[in-house]
Amino acid sequence: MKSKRQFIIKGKPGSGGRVTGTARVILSVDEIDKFKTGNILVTKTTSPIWTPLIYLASAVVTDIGGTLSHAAIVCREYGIPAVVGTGNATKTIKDGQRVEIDGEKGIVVLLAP
Amino acid sequence: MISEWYREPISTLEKTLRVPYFIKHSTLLFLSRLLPIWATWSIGLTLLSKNFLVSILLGFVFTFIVEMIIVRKWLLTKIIPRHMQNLKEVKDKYSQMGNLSAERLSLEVEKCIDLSAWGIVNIAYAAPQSWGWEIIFKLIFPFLVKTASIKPTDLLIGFKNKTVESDQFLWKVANENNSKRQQSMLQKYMELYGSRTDDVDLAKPTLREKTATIQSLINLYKSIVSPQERQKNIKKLREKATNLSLVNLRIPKRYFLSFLSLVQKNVQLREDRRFYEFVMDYYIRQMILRLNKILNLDNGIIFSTPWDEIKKAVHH
Repeated sequence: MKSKRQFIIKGKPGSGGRVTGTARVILSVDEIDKFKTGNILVTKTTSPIWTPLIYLASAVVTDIGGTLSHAAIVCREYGIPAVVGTGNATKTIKDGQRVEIDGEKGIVVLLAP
Repeated sequence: MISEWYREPISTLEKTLRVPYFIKHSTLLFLSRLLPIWATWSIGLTLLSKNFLVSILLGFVFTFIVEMIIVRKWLLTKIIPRHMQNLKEVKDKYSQMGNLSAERLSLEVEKCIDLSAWGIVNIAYAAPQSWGWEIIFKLIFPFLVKTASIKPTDLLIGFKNKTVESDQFLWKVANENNSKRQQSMLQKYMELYGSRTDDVDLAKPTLREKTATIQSLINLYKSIVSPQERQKNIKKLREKATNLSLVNLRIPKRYFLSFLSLVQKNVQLREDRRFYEFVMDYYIRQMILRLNKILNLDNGIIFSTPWDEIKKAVHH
């Protein structure tokens, strides 16, 4: 049996709140077609072109960025949980995987299918 | 290195065309704005302390503090109005591009790039100051308020801002039933918020060029709670956090409220400024694509060509 540590990704707390949902790994806004309202947005980093998509997400996870990053600021403005600066979430989280986000602690738990 | 503004390596055209203008305007800004204040502080402190190195370092800190206090007004009254005026000039050039020769068009592109770089550099200059206010506020919050149960960032959210404004506009477009009116609203949305880009790179299409993405967004924005409605809850959260802070203050209420107001006004610039920075990108990109067409180059090849080579091709 694998240890629990292998299923957790640590990042920085971007915006508070806890949510469980389906992760969508999206590297460009052009991939919006695979995104549904309420999905968890997993991406490298965000800039203003991403804000319409962030609004539709139930949570956001980014590879890079800190508490003053675009993703963190926008998520706080909408009350969306966010974990930022994980380093490798886009590679570790599989598209469509169930994940649990804790924006307060800055952790992402990868759940079994 | 990946960053918020450089997710992918920048194109040759961006590197050889706009980056030199970024360097030019950053240097000018440093020499005309930052250096005089820094030098004055450093000289004054050196005369008092006789320690040159410490004076330079302290001089920089004091300069930053002065800038934190005055940069917002400078940005809102001088830089953004001039930048928006420059946008009109760029739009004029864009509307005339169909009548221009390759040589003339290349000159106009350079002028537009110069204006764009001026705006981006000067607007971006406000970023460290607006972040600075949030950092200072978070650091000293425990000394101002007794309870640890309040998150300082909760006092800085729920204000009118460009992010919510643009998403609210998109929501209105998506939920408009009259198709003719919807098209006109969509056009307005593109004009106002469509010039956002993925990266600081003219090779990257702006939002308004991504028609399929816009259509998908419109479909997703139908029948959901409006951004403004959702932000009301955030405003309530801020009011609750503010009220709780006010009954747990370690300092007089009026000092706290004055400081809070100053911080709240400045932190809005963190993201709002970004909506102005790239407002010219769409028009400049179209002018470059027009040049690509006049020069009979393969589709978009101009973005991977050094600007000097393009100028040579234009002159030939």
